[in-house]
Amino acid sequence: PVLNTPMFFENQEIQNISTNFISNYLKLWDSNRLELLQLYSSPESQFSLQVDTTAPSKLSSTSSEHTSNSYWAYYFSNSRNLLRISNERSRMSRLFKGSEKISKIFNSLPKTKHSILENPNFYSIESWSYPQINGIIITIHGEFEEIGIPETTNAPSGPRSNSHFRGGHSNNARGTLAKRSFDRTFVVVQVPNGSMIIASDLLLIKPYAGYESWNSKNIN
Amino acid sequence: MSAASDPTSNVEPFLKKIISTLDNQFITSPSQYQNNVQLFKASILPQLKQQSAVIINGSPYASKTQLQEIWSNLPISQHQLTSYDTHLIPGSGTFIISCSLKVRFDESGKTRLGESAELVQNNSHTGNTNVAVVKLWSSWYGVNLNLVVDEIISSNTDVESINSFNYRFTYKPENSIISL
Repeated sequence: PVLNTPMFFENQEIQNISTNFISNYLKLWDSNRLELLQLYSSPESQFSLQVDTTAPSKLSSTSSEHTSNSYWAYYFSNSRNLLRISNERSRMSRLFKGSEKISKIFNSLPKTKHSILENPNFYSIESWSYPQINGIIITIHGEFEEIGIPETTNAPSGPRSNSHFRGGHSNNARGTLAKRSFDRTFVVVQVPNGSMIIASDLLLIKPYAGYESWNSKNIN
Repeated sequence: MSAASDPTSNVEPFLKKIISTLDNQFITSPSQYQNNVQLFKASILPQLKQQSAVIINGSPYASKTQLQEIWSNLPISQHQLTSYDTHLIPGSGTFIISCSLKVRFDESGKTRLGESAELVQNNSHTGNTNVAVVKLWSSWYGVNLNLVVDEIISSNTDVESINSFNYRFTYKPENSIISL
């Protein structure tokens, strides 16, 4: 009885800001990621990523490939799925604050290709206001293809314990490049000179799940 | 709380608590909801603020009451939290939360309220006993849920604290018949 629409924008202004933001952001994320760092110029800008290996997906449940460690090797040592990390030091060390730390983690993620210009129906966006900081939230759901190994690794330093993901990040272990699904939530604030600052960037990576869930017609 | 300590430690119990209310169903028992449909509806996401921004699969809802009204007429569900991450936004007094859920629905044709809409409107018929009702669970759907929640959940998970609630199916099983 409820509508299912792939796009939601609270108003026209938010629509203009968020569609511009997303198309420019993903273009640079795929081509020259470090150019995005100016968006994280506040020392309070935060980024973290989480992996949900158990999300329902289109991958065959009889194949074990996507449940193997190597399938997620490029992400596990930095994954902040807080359901699986109880150790406080690990929870804090996987939260990246400020452009220097964010640049390191960005460089340690596989090179990607998003096809939002060619295949906009592969993506879904909601955007609405965040009055407490006079900003907006932009959430995008969709997919990307991994087309190259990371520039560097970003293995956490210092003593580690109590993590499900310990080990496996030594010696630049090769991970699998694959097509994956993701959800990404940005909190964006416009600063007085007219430019944008990302206060928060939460990236959630999952096995490939298709795009039918926001494109199907409702029948009941 | 010192600056170095982890401010997010109470987010998980909060999330589990609110997600469980999405699965509530009306049971005609004096011990639950006191046979009162309005009390049942109010049990769904009680932590929403009255004027929360609520978006479900890209459609906005005007108020907490409207969300509770519509949700109570949906099929019975089971939600599970499979992943979450959160940032405390400095100076805002709020957390932003992104989480991954899986959910399945009862496809036997019943709503959370019972057999049919008529039953609800006619209070003399609330004698519907939910004894040994067989549920036909669907396959699992994938959901991404985004929330903005007041920092107060660190000490109190029962107050109205949710400023926005954005619920989106991100995977739909091929044999699905439910659409929200």
